[in-house]
Amino acid sequence: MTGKILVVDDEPQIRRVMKTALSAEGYLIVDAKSAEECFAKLREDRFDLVLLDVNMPGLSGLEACQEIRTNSDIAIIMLTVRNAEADKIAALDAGADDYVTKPFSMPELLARIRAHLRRVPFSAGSGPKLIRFDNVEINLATRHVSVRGQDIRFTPKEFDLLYYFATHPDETIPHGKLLQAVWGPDYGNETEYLHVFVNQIRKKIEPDPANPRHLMTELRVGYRFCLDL
Amino acid sequence: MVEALRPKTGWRNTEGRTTLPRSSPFLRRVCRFLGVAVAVAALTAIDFRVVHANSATAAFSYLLLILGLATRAGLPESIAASFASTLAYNFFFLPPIGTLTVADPQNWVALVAFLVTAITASQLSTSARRKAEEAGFRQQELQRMYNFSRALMLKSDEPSLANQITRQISELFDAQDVWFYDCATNSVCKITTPPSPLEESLLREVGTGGQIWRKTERGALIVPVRLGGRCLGSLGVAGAAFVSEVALQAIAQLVAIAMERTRAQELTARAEAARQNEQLKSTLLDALAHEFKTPLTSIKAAATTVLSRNTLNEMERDLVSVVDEEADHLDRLVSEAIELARIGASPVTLHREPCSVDELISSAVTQLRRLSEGRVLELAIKRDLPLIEIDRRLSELALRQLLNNALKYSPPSSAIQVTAESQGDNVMLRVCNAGQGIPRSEQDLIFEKFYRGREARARIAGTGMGLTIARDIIEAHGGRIWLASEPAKGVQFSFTLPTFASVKAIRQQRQQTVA
Repeated sequence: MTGKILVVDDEPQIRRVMKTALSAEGYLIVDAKSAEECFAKLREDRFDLVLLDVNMPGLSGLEACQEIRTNSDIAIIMLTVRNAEADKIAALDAGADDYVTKPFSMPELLARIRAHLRRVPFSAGSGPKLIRFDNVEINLATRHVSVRGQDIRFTPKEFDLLYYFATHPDETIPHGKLLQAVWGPDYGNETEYLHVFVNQIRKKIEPDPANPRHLMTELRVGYRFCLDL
Repeated sequence: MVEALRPKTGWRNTEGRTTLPRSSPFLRRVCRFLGVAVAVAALTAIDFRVVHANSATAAFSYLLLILGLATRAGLPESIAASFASTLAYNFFFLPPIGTLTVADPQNWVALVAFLVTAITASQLSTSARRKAEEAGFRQQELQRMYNFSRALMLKSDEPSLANQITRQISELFDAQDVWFYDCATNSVCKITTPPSPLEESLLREVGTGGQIWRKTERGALIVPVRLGGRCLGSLGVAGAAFVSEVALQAIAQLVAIAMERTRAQELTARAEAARQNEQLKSTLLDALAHEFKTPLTSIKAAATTVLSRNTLNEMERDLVSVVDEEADHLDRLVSEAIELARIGASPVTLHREPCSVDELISSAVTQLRRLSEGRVLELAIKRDLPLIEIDRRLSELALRQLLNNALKYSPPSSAIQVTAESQGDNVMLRVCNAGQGIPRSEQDLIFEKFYRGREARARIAGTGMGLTIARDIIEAHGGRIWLASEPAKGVQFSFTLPTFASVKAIRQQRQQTVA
């Protein structure tokens, strides 16, 4: 496995164990002990993923995540001791792609890191390269989305999810299937992820996000992407 | 200032009649009539002896005297003066002079006209005087009412609003007796001058019944204190110089508004204190969780990294597994202790919302997926169960504790049953396992904090807090939790949660009671 990971945590022991364990897996690890240091490192270098602790003195992990999201699509996994649904949603809303509760087992964290470092291997070659509807244009090859001629930024996971919807139009896709296809085989119960990501996609592509016309909720089952109206 | 406003002539009772002070009223009246007689005699003497007035001049001078008396003294005095003047006028000024006979019939007309004019003028002037007095009195009443409302708005040193109300009324309205009954505390606060015509039972009656009570003795009056049809208490006043029934009702209205304002302020202050307390507790517990879990994270991450490598021999693998498992155990202990502290330190704050029983069970089961892997869960949920109104997060936690308990204390090959059925105003859920059962002697202790079954203590990892957490949560919802167990036949934990309809009905009932 290769990839460059930035570990942001104020606890030196956690940074130490992560550095040792993740380096042993072949990742290149850089660490930062605060949000400010994290921003500096992100400016200096290119990373594939950020492991970001929520509870840090100074700028909190959530604020740091929002700040990173204003100019980067890098994959972000938040680490926190709180396990309530509201906390998970807060992290995802702040722009994180995933959420791991401390203490975690290393194989679990590694599985999540792998899930976020790979690009979803959809068969982009076989289907159409360009999908157009309602002033929205999705370029599957270049991973660009434009709405009314303007480029809209999507985080990798947001794009993967939209990609999956766009290539499976008019199908009711259950929560579990979506999570496994987009996040990876270790996922399946994290319906709150879908809730947050679908809302974010709606805000970007729907004319009226409160009354969606394309990305429809199938109550208690999953979602359906309507291409033709 | 109060003393300066007090009228010099006497005091008014609640019907607004003017009366003399109660000390020797008869003597006073006799003195006044004697005064009238002296005045008429003096005027007659001046007209007859000094001025030698003719009959017309005399008649006008008498009329002037009568008007003066009507304005100053009152109607009875001026009427008495009218008759006395008529007699004197006839005797001294109408021929034949020195007798009470009238020779000329025209003089009869003059005499009768004089009498009628005198009486009418008396009446008019008395009524004008009374109206002026009345207006003055109302103005004073208004001034006092304004002062009272201002005093109520200001912060006072009095221990309670009731004390403030009674003291202010007693001072501003010069009342000997001011009693105030507060429905909310069912107590009477009073300033009294014995013997008082007021009684506590009367105040309670008016406070709850809402009917005005009057008594002529010292103008005693009790009015209800109401706000929008809601009885808040009653207000009784006796021996007050400046309070009419209408004024007392207006005072009661001011009192009601002040009570409502104070109540709202208290509620806000209490809610704010509770919120701050909750926030502080939450922050402290979060900090505590963080402090414990940070080293655990390092331990767990290190141990699992070592375990995931295939370079360990059997002994090393075994020992690192102990580190990993104990880190998990410690994590559970910390999580549950913090959850218990969150729930147990103060009354549980519930964020209730309507929820279906299906949702509750499926959500709790989903969260336990990792623990229940490979186990059979048999769900028997009755159809058409009513919605329940619960705090979802806490209720899920309670159900998870019971499911976790059932999973831990039953053989891995056995099934766990979860049933749900309607039971009056509640929905009853049951979690059954096919474990060893709990001996009767331990059944009462099992919900106690940190208690663990004697048999299980050595074999199964646990904290002894799970069932306490479940009980506290269910009881905070107004539900009940109990268990049934027979040796070697497993354990049935049953609990109830209130339906949405029943919670709504209770809430409405409470609102009506308050109203």
